[in-house]
Amino acid sequence: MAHHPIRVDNSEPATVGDVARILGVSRKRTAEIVRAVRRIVRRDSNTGDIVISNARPANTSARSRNGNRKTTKTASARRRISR
Amino acid sequence: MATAKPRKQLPRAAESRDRAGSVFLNIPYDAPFENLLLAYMAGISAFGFTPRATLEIPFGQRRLDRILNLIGQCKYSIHDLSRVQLDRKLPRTPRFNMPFELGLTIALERAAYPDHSWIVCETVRRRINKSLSDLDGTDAYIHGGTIAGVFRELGNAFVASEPQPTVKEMSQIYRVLRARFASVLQRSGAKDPFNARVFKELCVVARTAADELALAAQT
Repeated sequence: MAHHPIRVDNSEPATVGDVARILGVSRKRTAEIVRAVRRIVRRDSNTGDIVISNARPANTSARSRNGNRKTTKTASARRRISR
Repeated sequence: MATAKPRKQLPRAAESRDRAGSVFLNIPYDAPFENLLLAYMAGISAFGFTPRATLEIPFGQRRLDRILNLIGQCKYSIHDLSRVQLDRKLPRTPRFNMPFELGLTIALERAAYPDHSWIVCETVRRRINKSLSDLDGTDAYIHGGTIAGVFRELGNAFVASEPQPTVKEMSQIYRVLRARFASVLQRSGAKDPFNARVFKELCVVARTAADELALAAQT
């Protein structure tokens, strides 16, 4: 038995616009998605590596429970190890 | 009474181009498969194709016709027959949709679309010889139920394709999908990616990520 690979005709790769049109995603929503993805993909100028920052959605800003600036307690070394 | 606007007909050349860039994805729609759905989306987008799935089709009348139509709109198809066990919900049943859609695809290939190309993926080696022995002579691509396995096997399946993304590049698209996943779900009021709106938006996210990552790598 042998794998039969997919026979590809190597036409032009689909663009974002093509994918959105084929799937019926509106232009406005596509533009929003493009902006959101651009915000999280960048190249680190020091290391040259691609960095994907796990950005939070805009409407879920972190809030401190007790009015302080910090939203989360710094984990102690012992606590970090026990995770 | 307002009359419905007639839908624009695509020229035949554009239709043919869309078909040549579309991959029909036949996979289980259940929570344990969420990671692999995103992996397939990331991988297919990395190769420059558009994932399509029956998730796009609403339940209701003429669903079968619309499934056949969707398969016809795709030049390639990937059939994941990993889910052969009984589900947890009562009455406990196996899922027949995936092998059924594979059968439809093969029938369409033989009868109407001889240029259609399909592959079968599985988690467990040699299980398909037992679960679907009619496919004897066709080796399944075994991804082992892992994201890295899906990327590896997509690379094997699309070996003649141009571009040839690396597993690392596919993983980066996957990470972008994961980063945007909660936001897309929240916006759609959905709990999982197995619905039309989430699926479509995630496909656009994956395609955008592929473009942006390629751009970032060049600069």
